[in-house]
Amino acid sequence: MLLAEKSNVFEQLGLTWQEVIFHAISLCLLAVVLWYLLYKPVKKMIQERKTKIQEVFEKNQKLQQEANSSKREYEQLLMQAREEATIVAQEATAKAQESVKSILEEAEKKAEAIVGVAHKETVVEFTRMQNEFKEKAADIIIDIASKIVEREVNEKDNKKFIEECLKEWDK
Amino acid sequence: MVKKHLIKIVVSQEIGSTLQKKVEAFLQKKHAGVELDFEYEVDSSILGGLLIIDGDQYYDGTLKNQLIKVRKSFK
Repeated sequence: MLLAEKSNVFEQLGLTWQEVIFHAISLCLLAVVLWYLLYKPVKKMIQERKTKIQEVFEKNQKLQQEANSSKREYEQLLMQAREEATIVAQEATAKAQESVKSILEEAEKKAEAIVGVAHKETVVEFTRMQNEFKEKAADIIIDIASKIVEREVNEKDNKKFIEECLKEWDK
Repeated sequence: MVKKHLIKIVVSQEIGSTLQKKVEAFLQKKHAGVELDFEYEVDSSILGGLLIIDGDQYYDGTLKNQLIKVRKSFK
């Protein structure tokens, strides 16, 4: 009865049970073919892609680790270089300060020598000017004295002076 | 003729006979036994005193000479 009811339904749809079985078998065949021709390759492809992606990911991780390690090494080297640079700068500063000190000392000595020479020259020049002044002053004094003597010496003074000379020579 | 020894006496102004005699007596003492002849010259440039030129000997008692000595003492 059930079969009869079902074959009635198929007849209402315009299908025979042979056609249905045929279509069912075709569908199964199609499914199998698709399984082998499409599903499996695609799955394989996906799996391969997955594996590749995994490899790439692992490679990236490895590279990342190497990069981090390099970065740490670089930072260490940089710190060392900075320390060395600081030491070099300090040494250079100390050397420069020593040089400056030495140059200043030498300059001071030279300045002292120059001052010494200048002082000597000043003293010599002063002495020379002093002597020159003395001579000129003496010339002026004698000149004035001569004029005064010429004007002021009278007969009496002259006589007295001559008598003193004679007395002196007679000794 | 006896040759007299000439002595030149330079004075700044005319001196009297008394002073002349004193000068001549001084010179005669120096030249004992020699007859002397005196020549007087007035030269105001000597300023005062007298200068006796006795041959190659000089008696410089001039004020000018004294001033020269003072001038030298400044050096």
